[in-house]
Amino acid sequence: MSSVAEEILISRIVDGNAAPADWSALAAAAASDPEVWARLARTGEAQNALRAQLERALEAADCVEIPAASSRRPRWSIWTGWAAAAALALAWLGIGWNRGDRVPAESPAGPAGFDQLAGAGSDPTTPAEPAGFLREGAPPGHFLEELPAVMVDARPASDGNGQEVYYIRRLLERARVDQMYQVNRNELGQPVAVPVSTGPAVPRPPL
Amino acid sequence: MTAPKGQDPVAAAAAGDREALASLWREHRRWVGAVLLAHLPPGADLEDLLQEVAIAVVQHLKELREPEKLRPWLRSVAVNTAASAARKEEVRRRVLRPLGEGEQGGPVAQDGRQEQAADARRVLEMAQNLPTDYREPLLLRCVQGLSQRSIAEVLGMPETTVETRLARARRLLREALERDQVGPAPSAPPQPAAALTRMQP
Repeated sequence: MSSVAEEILISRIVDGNAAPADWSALAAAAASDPEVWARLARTGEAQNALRAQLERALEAADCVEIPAASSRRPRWSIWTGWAAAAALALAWLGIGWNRGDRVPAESPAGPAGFDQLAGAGSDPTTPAEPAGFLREGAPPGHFLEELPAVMVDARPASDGNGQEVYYIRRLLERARVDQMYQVNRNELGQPVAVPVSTGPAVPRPPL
Repeated sequence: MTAPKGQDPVAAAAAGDREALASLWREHRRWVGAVLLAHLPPGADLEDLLQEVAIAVVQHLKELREPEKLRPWLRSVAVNTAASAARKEEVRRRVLRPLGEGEQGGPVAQDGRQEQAADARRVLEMAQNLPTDYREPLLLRCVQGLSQRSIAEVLGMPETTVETRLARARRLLREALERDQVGPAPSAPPQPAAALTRMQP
């Protein structure tokens, strides 16, 4: 009996789907190779161990319910994503502002977001303020504001003095592009860029 | 909002019937969890991803044109959610690696019970490390109540293909366990009678 035929018979038996003919075929194979029974037993044991472990892991699934309220995303969160995508597209296409002739600007004070997180002036290792650099380097009206920082991690400092806090600084920017694209996936799972429209222009106050 | 009596539960849920939607979710969430486990990126949390799938179901079920394709649709939502988590995790890893994340202390001693639990977890980990084509049907088959036919429907493939992949997956898992020497101990001398008693329908 081929190893493929044997693995199918063993699998059917482990599954509880074996017909009497399957049992007979396996018994016939075992007559010339008694190890078949050991392989059957080990496969059954592996299956039982896996089922038990999976059951335990899936207990988490029983706690997950459909969200009670509508979980529609607020419009601003959608547009924040688009803004980030547009900024990335600009960076990728190289049509952003010319950074070659800019010099980082000194800033007298850190932005509010950082100050709130780390405590104003408490950390002498604070880098030169990147927001200031962007403000100086970007065309007028490009840099809008710094949003509150998002903390990623915190841990005791290695020298035992204070905490090391890891955070992401978020800069709200504005740029003008000719066309926006959304990255979707086609039926083969490959990424494809799809042009999107934001609808007709309506007058609204600037951010 | 409640759908008229006799309406297809999937159509009712898609039309906004919250009860139908909740009941539909409860019926399918376990195997959706198994699909997520088959595609779970390292470091991701099953419960978090399942919650994301639940949100996606609420938001997009109305876009499902053919209610009979619910299972493959749910699977694709789960696979995409896991893939998206993998991409986020990769970004997070690349951002935090320079910050020293992952630096651990020395090996931690484990008592016997911890070792046993770790061994049990290894079985699932080994199944998750099988080639993609094999691990998903194998994990789905371990979900109570999911038949080979249902798995074929979820994966969009013939039942015979599912059977072949299940058989290969079981053999690969057994061989991996034999190599690793964890979980089920190597069997005692062949006990055909015992095996027959345990497994015969």
